[in-house]
Order: sequence, then structure tokens, then C-alpha cells
Amino acid sequence: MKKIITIAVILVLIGTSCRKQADYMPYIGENGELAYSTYTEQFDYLWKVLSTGYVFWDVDTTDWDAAYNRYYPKFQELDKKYEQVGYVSTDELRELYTGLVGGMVDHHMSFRVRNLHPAPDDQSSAVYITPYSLEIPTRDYYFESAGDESMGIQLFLQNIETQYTVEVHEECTDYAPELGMTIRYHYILFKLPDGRKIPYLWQSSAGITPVMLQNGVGAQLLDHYFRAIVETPRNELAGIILDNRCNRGGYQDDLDYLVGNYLNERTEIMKTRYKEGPGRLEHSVWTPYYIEPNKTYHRDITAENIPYVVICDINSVSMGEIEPMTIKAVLPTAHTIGERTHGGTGPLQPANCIDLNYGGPFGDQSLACGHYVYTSSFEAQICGKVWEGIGHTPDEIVLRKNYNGDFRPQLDAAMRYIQER
Amino acid sequence: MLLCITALTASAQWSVGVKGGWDRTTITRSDAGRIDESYIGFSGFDAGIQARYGFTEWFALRADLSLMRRSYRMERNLNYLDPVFTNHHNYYLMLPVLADFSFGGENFRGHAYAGGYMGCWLRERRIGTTYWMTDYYVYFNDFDEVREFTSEDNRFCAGLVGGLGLSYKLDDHWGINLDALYYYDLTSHHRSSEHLRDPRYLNTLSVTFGASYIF
Repeated sequence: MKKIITIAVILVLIGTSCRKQADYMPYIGENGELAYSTYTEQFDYLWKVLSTGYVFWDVDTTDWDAAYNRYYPKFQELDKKYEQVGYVSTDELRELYTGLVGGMVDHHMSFRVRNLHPAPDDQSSAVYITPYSLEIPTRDYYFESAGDESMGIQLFLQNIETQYTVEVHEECTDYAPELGMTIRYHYILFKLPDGRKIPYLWQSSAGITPVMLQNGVGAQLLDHYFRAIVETPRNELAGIILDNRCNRGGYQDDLDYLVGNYLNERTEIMKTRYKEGPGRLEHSVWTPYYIEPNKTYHRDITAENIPYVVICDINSVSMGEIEPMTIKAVLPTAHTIGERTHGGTGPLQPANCIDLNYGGPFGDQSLACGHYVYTSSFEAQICGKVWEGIGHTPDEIVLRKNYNGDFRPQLDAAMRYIQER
Repeated sequence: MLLCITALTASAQWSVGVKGGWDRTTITRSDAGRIDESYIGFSGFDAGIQARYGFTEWFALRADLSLMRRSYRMERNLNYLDPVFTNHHNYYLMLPVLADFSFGGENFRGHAYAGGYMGCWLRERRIGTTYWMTDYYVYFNDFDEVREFTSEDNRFCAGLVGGLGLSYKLDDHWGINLDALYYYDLTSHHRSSEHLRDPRYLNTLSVTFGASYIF
């Protein structure tokens, strides 16, 4: 019996020692003091948090382990350089981090790190890299945008020709406090030569939900747009236009209006999932995102066969592109016009929810902890595919580049589609 | 020498049978970098066939082929996400090979087992509640799905197994046994990066009742 017990104890000891221990893994919610003191440690920390917290490892082609092997010695070199000369130039640090993260597919990502020992003549000690700004200009239809269509709309209205007229034009600027940004709207009620009307809305960001809650000037304008859609008799309503060009994104709940208004029943519009554990492919299940019919501005545009045109361009970002994607996916009379959008489709958590799951933004914006990385919290799947880095390709391609970035041709295409339909 | 071989052969005895019962699995994984979730043990089952070859009255080798459900549960603890949980039901085909040291009377005997096992992770079904959050709302959604394996899943498992048992010989050809075996994985079911090792090991206590035909 003693022998048996001895053998059992030996086996247990062997077994315990055969199990490997886990490496140190940083907690994504750490945002206090610096968690590192050298460039190598900073790299190692950021590499690890992105390894555990980046939500797109299933679609991103970056070889993250190879990147570690490649860049670890380079950051060690930086530490040696600092020991020799007492500083490292921010440009040099930027070059290394651009090599590390510059090709990542997350088109929301902004990657900011503090240079721990900047050179005396450095303008800034912060490295700021946005992978999308490296990819977007390489597209063959890229054009330099003013970033706000208001001027284009004004010029268009001053030079409008006779084929369609403007019955109503309202514009306003409102504020979405949670987004911390102003939102500009243009509502136009176009009238076609045959007398039919087309309610048109341009929005600089997706902030309908907070603007409606605030019930200010923006809510008034939006109410006019939605009421024009709901109350215009069918024989007088030619179609609807939503213009999302240069839309910088915002609230998912806006889909309650832009999709929900036209639904008769609860409808799945997309699926989302998040990082449930630190493994790169350790995702939650795909969770359906349902939209309920919005009875306040409800109209069954499918039954009434009312065309719903969404215009989008290369500067339609995040919700600015998820809106045309989901409208197109769900509403049979939807038609999208313009050019392939930005490709930032991964939803983000509110900023105060940093440790809600393993993904999402981490660090602090003041760079007190040495870094702030803005990255998607969720992965989104629309029509069975993750469109991150790709964006929405419209039904009808009209490139602004071919018209020197002119506002009008894409709108003309929308008008033409509605009239010919 | 001849006497010894003759003695072994004289007491050599094959028995083959079936077994079935309950198991409970826990997961051993690092807390490093963890957000708010906790992992707790969960019950499963163990069903299969067992074969035993007795060399002497007190020593035998035993091999089982078992289908085991090795489940564990993940729960979120963050106050407004506490409805979120996942029951991970992992189905394994296990092949333990055990040295069986027995003691006691002719019919009613106690057993001490020690050995190793290999196994194959056949399938993972996960059942639970997940969430989706917009800027104003949190939505919860129940799910029940078979998870697709990824390159991070190590579907081969191996480890140590040991335990205790009781057997009762009903007559010359039939016997029953009650065993408690503890499976201790030495392979991680999760393949992690060489630069960020994060192994996860399953531990399973299985209690089974078996019946065997003795040749």
C-alpha cells in the first residue's frame, strides 16, 4: 500500500510540474501610471494588449507573432540608443510603430503612444498612427475631401437647374454631448418636374438619437424630414434620399429611425461579437442585433414600393457606412449610390466601458499611462460577412474623383434612379 | 521462472463491459489580465466500454474507451452584465489506460488506479446568454450553438488519471464496479502565442458504474 501511495504522490508531483505557467498578461483596463519604463517594455505591453484585445484577428492578415520577433530587437536597439545619447527621436519611434500597426485592418483604429525620452528638438512626444489613413489614399478612387458637405450643398442650391426644384430647405447645427461633436443637417424637399416630391437628408454624423432626445433645432429638422416621408401621399412621393457622404459615424440607435421607421416587424439587421477571452480567436457567439418597428414615423415603404436611396462615399465612416449597409440588407426598395466606403464597421463601446470585454479602446487619452489605443470593441457581420477594411460597395458606382470631387453627380444619379424606377 | 509464469497465467482473466456515470470538470487557467469573468465547475457525463486483464489476483491492466462531456461554466460578474454566462460543453473521446491494484476478498474488492490517457476533443457546444450594447441600450440574447474549432484549439489531450474503485463479483461470469477517477490534463486545450503563453487545463472527476462479463 505504501508503494502505491508513493507512486501516486510521485505521479501527482510530475503532473503538477508538467503544466506550464501562463505569462504575464496586462489588464486592458489599466490606465493609471506608466506600466513600463523602457521602449522594449512599452512595445511588449502594447503588443500583448493588442494580442488579447484586438477583435479582428480572424480577418486581419497581420502576423502578430512574426511582428514580435521582428520588432522586439529593434526596440531593444532604441533602449541602447537612449542609454548612449539620452533620448530617442519621436520620428524614429513613429517609424517602428507604423511598421507594427500600420497595416492593421481596424479602420477605426488610432494608436497613440508617448515617447518616453523625446529628443530636445522634437515637436511632440506623442506618436499618432491611424492605419486607415495609410490605406485609404492607396485606393484608386480616392479624392481629397473637404470633410463637410455643407459647402457643396450650398453651392449646389445656388446653381440648381430646372430639372428638379427645391420646395423646402432647412439646415441646422446641433450637438451630441456623448459624441462631443456638433452635427450638421440639411433637409431638402425636392420637387420633380412631374410634381412628385423627394425628402432628402444630409447628416454630418450619425447623431439622430441624441438630437431627438434633446428636442432642439436638430430634432425639429429631423421631424420635418421624417414627417415628409410619412405624410406625403404615395402618388406625390417619388422616393427618399439619405445622404451619408462624409458622415463620420456615431450612434447605432439611429438605425431605429433610418431602418426601424420602415419595418413592420422585429428584424435582424446584423450580428456582432466581442472578445470573450484573451485568446486571439476567443470570441463570443455572434449575437443578432434586432431592430423594432418605430411607430412614431412608420411607413411601409416595401409594401408601397417607395425607393429609398442612400448616397455614400469614401468618407462615409462607421455608422456612416453601416447605415447604407443595413438599409440595403433589410429593405427591398433600398438602393445605394456612390463609392466604396471607408471600412470602419466594428462598433465601439462608450469610452467609460473600457473593461466591458477584452476588446475596445484602452489606455487614457492624456497618455498619462503612456498610450491610448482606440480600437473596435465588437466585430460586426452584415449579410454573413465581416466588412472591416472593405466597407460598403454601392449598387451603383459614381466616383467623385471623376468629377473633381463635385457634390452633384452622385445626387443626380440618385434623382435619376428614383425617376426612372 | 516457469513457476512464476504458470502462476500468472493461472490467474489471468479477461473482462469486458460497459460503464456510465456522472462527471464534473473544472478548468485551470491563469487569472492574469482577466476582466470580471469567473470560471466554475460544471457537471457532465461519462459513458463507454471497459476492458480489464488481470495478471495476478492483485494487479491488472485496464483500458476504457469513453465519451465524456467535460463541461465548465463562465459567468460575468460586472453588475449590469451579470446575466451573461456560457456553459462550455466539451465532448471528448478518451482512452485511459490504468494500472489496477486491487485488494480485499474474493468477490468484494477495492481498487486503486493509476495511469495515463489520451483523448480527442470532438465537439464543443456552448449554451448561454450573451449581450450586445448600443449607446443607450444593453440587449441580452440566449444562444445554443456548436462552436467551430479554430487554429487556437488543441483537440488532442493527454494526461494523468488515478482513482479508487469497488468491485463485486456476482457470479463466475458477471461483475459490477463503481469507480471514481480523476483526469488531470497535461495538455492545454488552448494553443497560445509563444510570446504570451496562456494554457488552459481541464480537470475531471468521473464517477461511473460498470458491469462486465468475465471470461
